Amino acid sequence: MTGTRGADDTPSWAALFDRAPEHISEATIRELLADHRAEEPDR
Amino acid sequence: MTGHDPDPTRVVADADVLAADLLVGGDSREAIDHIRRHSWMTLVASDPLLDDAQTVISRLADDDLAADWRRKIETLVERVEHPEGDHPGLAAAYHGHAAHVLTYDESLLTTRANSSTKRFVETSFKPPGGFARLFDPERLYPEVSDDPYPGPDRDPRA
Repeated sequence: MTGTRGADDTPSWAALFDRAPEHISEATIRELLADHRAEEPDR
Repeated sequence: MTGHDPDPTRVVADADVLAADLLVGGDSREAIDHIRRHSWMTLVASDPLLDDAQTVISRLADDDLAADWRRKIETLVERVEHPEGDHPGLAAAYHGHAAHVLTYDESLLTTRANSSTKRFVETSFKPPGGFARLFDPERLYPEVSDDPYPGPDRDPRA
């Protein structure tokens, strides 16, 4: 069974996924990343 | 391996795919699960690439989740360095000898972009769903061992 901690004392992937908010889309992520990178000079 | 020859067991997931793995699931999680399941696969990243993903996660979720994700992903990836200002996905692939870049960025996925970027880096650009469907560990395993493919050797949720 996958617990809440990984073997290296970091949170398990299962525990991290459980904490993610719902209803976020790939398109929203893509748009936010594009905006963020546009703010960075020389990229 | 010589120069910047790509290694088919080495993969870059751009920051959008890393964030979607955590926040959405779906194709991104299926793709990265292939790497989490197989210790002989390498997820390559750079600090600027992880910084970008952490920023997106902070904005869409919260700083605590983003910080915990950062600690976790750093146990999975092999970090490479590249010049400041380079596109983190492309530069991590080039300096990390990755054969695949997983991204949702249409400008990288188009045939034209693929052919132009190949002047600089012999790497294929795929949406995570394409990688998830095409990944064939039995076919790839002979790249790292003469033994038969033993099956997954890690818990992808641990």
